[in-house]
Amino acid sequence: MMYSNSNSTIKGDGSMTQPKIPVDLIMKNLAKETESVQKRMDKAADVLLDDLKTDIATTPYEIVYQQDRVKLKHYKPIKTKTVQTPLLLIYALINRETMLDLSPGRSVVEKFLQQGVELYMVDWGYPTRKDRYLGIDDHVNVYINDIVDFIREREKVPKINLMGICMGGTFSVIYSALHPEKIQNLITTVTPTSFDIDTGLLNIWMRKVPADQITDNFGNIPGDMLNFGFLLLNPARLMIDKYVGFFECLDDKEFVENFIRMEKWIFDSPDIPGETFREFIKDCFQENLLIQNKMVVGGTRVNLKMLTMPLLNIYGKFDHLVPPEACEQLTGKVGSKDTEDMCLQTGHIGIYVSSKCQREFTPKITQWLMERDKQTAKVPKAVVSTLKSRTPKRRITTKIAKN
Amino acid sequence: MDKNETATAQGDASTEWQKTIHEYLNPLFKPWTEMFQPPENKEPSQPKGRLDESLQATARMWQTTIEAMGEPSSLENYQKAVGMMPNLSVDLTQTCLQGIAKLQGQAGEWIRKRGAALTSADIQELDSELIKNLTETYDKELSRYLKVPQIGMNRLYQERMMHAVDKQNALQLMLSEFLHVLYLPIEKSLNSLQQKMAEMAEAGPLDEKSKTYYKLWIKLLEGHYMELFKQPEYAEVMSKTLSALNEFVGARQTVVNDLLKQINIPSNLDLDELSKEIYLLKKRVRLLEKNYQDVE
Repeated sequence: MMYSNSNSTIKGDGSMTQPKIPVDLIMKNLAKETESVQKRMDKAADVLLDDLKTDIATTPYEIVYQQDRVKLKHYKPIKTKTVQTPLLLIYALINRETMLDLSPGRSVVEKFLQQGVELYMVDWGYPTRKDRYLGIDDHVNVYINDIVDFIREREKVPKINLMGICMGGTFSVIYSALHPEKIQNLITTVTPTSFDIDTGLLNIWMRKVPADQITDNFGNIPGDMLNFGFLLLNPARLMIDKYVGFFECLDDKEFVENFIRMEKWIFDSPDIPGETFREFIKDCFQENLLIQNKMVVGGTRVNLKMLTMPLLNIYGKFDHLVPPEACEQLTGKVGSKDTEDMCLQTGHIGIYVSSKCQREFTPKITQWLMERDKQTAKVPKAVVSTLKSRTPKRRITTKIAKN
Repeated sequence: MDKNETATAQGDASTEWQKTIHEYLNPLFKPWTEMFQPPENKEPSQPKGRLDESLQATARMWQTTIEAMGEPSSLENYQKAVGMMPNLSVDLTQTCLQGIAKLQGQAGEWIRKRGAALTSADIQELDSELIKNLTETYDKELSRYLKVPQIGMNRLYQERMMHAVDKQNALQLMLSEFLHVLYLPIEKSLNSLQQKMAEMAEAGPLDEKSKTYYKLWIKLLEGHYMELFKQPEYAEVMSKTLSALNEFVGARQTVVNDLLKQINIPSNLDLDELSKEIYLLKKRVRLLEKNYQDVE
């Protein structure tokens, strides 16, 4: 047996011991592994050159509303409606809402539809240079508000259910505090509301980011820059280990398909409108105004005590982007008496993509909504006419049937 | 032969050479000048055009020059000038070499000062100190050459270009520092892996599978990165790199805008102005619509 003495140690009596690193056995195993890698690569070539099903967001929907770059997707329930009030999903501006419908069998959207929930989802689109001046006020009080009014008119309901994801959840909280009369129930998932914490790397880094300088120079924040920043949060796992794992399972077609879908989503990063970035970094990350009821949006101070509707707050225990400490304070600050925190044993996106979490997560939400569903099928004419008069007249409405 | 005799001999040789040249070239140029002069029995004719005038002037100039060179006084002056050349060359070379030696001395002194600024005695810290030193050196010593005020009609564009070059250099240096910082956990994790393997070897025979060591290394690497990212020094370097990037992008954009302006293509600034106006107009329209609906 060959031994390496590069790491020899000295005993108490001064003599040297030779640690026995079986270099020859390691080399022999490497040779065997190389053989198995070779076989795997042969199979992998067949897999990669085969017809891979890597489409994402395949659940059928129609675009029922559009304003500028923002679209509203409508999904019809597969089963009989169990919750009369429609649910509006608001995703973050970072990455795309397609993550909620990543693949058949692993789709939050599909699960909701199977449970009889009528679903609407905001598609924020891809901001261009002209969107650089849109701030939080424009997203909350214009786009979200117009969409909410549209759904209320379309469904003939005075209020809707609102569910926000990550930054979309922050927008949902702000919206619900400013327009509580339009929201029946609010669900926030992995939503940062308190930013003055030291457990999350993002919170530590964002304090040092020169938001004004970046916005003035770049206009919109490039999606590529965001991608790189998120990869830097854990380069060992996200830049090395992930791909090592991929190469090890390259001969597994299903694995490859799921991996490619995830890659498609994770690197599909729209730019963030400059003013929104500036306001979010300065008002939230650097000054933590929201949880202190000091944040001003569109000239109005956001008072969390005005958030009086039932609130379900879900977050992940191992979320490295939005740690539990950033989420759990919300329920204690709102005016609602009906609040619930739910901490899942998963990370930031595990809640949505892990089949195990989806089995807990969506039924829980559906059940929670059903218990609080006070909506009746028909709404008095007086309410409908009020809704009609408030909805903006000039708007592009398109209907696109999608498979 | 002493120096004076040598110089005299050389002067005599060059005089003979000059005479030979003069006797050879003068007849050559005579036909050219006569070509443009009318014959004696004819009246002087006017030059046919600018080309004729130019050729006449050139031929006259050469003839005059050759004749002048044939005169003894001219030849003497020429000899003196040629005689001075070796001394002049030596003086010039001496001055240049002295200047170069002085510059070398200054460069050496400058390097010595920079070396003295490296405070760390630990060889492992040397590379990070070196990078920081390079950055400081660039900021203090080299950057100022790019900030020299420009003159002339295009001074503004030249200054902007040099500003962009300056910011690019600063960005390169900051990026080196940032990448160096990002590399540190890799280095440390490899060292930690070696130590772990030594400990494992002491405890018993080592695992044959390479995957075990890879998993161990990845875990160590992840741990080191987490440790690094939480340190305020990292956030500081990251912030400085972002600032350097911002400054470079701004400076580059200014240069690009100047170029686009020259070829009449709208730049980002122009589009931003328009976008802002449209955005504000839309806001006003929305507000007016809302007020109108409220009134209704």
